[in-house]
Amino acid sequence: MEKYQISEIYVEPSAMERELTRRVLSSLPELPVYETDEARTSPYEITTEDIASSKKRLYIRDYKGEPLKPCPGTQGRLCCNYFIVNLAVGCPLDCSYCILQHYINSPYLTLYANIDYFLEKIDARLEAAPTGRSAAFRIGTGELTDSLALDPITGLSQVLVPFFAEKENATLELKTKTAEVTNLLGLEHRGKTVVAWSLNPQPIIDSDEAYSASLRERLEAALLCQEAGYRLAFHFDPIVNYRNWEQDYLEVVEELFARVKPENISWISMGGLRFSPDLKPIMRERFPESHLPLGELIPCEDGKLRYFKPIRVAIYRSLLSWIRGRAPGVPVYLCMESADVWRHVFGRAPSCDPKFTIDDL
Amino acid sequence: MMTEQKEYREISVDEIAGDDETFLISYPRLDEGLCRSLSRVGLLNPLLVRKRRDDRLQIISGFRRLTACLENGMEKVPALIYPKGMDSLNAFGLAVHDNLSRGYNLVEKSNIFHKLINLIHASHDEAIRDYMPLLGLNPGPSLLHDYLSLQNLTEDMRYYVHETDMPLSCASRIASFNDREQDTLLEFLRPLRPGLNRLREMLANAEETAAREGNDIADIFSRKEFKVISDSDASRPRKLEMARAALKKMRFPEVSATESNINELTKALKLPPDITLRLPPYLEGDTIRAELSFKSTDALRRLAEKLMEVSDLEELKKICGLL
Repeated sequence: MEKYQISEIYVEPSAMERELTRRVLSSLPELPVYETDEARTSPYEITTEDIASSKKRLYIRDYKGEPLKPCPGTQGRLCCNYFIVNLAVGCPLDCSYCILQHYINSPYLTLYANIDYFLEKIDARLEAAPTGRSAAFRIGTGELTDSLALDPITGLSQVLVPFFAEKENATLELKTKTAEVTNLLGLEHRGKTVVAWSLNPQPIIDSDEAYSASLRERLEAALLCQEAGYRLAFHFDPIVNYRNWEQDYLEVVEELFARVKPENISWISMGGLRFSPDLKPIMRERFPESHLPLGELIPCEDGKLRYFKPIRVAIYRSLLSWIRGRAPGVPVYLCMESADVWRHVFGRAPSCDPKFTIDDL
Repeated sequence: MMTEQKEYREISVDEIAGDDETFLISYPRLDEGLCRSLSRVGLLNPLLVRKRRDDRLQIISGFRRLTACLENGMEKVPALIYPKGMDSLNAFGLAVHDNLSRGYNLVEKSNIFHKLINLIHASHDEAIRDYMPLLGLNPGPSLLHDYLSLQNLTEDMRYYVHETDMPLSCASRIASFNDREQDTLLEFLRPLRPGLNRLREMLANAEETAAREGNDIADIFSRKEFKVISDSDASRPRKLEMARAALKKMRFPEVSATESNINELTKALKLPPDITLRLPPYLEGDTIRAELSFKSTDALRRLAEKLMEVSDLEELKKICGLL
């Protein structure tokens, strides 16, 4: 795996003395650092060059908004009742299908330094919430960035994992496409952190997931976390339909269960490739060799493009049967799919309520 | 902007360096309306010219007017003559402003940005900041890039873009094709003359099919399916729909196969025209709507009986199974 492309660091003055800032700067001593009130923004619209630049310019600043938000989900699709904490916006990895390319409005990879503020707010929210299984929060940091890609320079996991270890009504999910788990291994987690990997066959990783770890590296990292007693999760997402999908995804499932014990897996999700039509021209321009935008993707009710339903259902069914054949007790769910697709795949949808929890599966 | 020392007089067309197209923006150069107007009332607005080092006169603005004058056999034309010392950026600004009120077409806007950057050596930022708002465009690098890309259009395609009033999004897409691709595409488009939405859809389908198959656009439009359509006796709109369907089938083979399967199954139901089954678009949903048209309770009863009859048919079960 190639490391970061980061070549410049911008720091907001108020964030300069933060612990996280000091840690990042000491981890990347060779990079130029600019202290600035307001990092330069593009005077016009964000271009594809800006997207590429955002992988190279790290901007450390304080965050002032609400840290814990419900996952926005998508219109008309069943939602898995997930909460997100965005400690960074932007990602050092460069996946062709990444929605951030369309979503971000800044030519920077932004990292928030005032971690204490996040923890205080989250703490207050969890304290105020009722306890009990049905009220448990599933909280992820991998919505607008990769949860672990920057961990070697931020050390954030060493703050977050012990924090959530003390929480009775919350589970932290660290979702990644990297193998950056070294910081996790000696931590007291009390089973309250789930380390999760997005999985795809190696040909898709090679063609469309630049700067990420190989499948083998991801699974080796999962093995290390398993040995350290962590709960694990896996996301077959985005699932790509291509000529050898059947053989290649079966191999991924086989490799996964050759290393990981089903009883250590908290959940597995499946989500077909999907993206907004506005992302397509960006993908075509930035990744002209990628075949992902060229699949049989049709517009769905929520405005996103997805594979034609019979294609999605066929892939989900196959994948589910391979997983269930090896791990019958592991909860498996679909990400951003409609009730009728759920019924085709599982024979039922999880609940009439559009929001369900892992316990409903 | 330098305006002193300019001189107004009638000049001989022989004094003009007619092959010097440094400031040529207008497209197309021949304007038949202007020729007719000029033959009736003469030239109302003088040419703007600048003296070159060799004392010949370089046109700053008025290429179409000069062409119309020559078409009308005029040997002398009124002109405002600017001095040799006038710098090219100012002269170019005059050229742009002189025709601003008539509005520029897509190709002309492209010419403006191309000349500004490549001949006058203005920076991209200057073009965005000073010229895009002047031309009523939202300033931004990607829009500028799209306009500049139109310089890659072949002459024939450029004319087609102009005469069909093609929007920038489609024209810049076509400009990314090589000359052979543009020629083949033009041969396909000319007899069909698709409107904007059809054109956009067909281009996207052709381009993505070509990319998926590792072919170029020319290979797609040279396929025998299109030759058959072209040679058929169908009307232009019918040919257009046939071509559109053929492209969609190439781009979305599984969707197309499912749709034709549904059509076959629906036909087998032998529903009267008063009953229409509506499936959710692209099968995204689980509900089929049946639309009934009737004028009397008897008619409704007959339709209900027909619906009862088809509800037992295997074909309808197959259609439901697809959702």
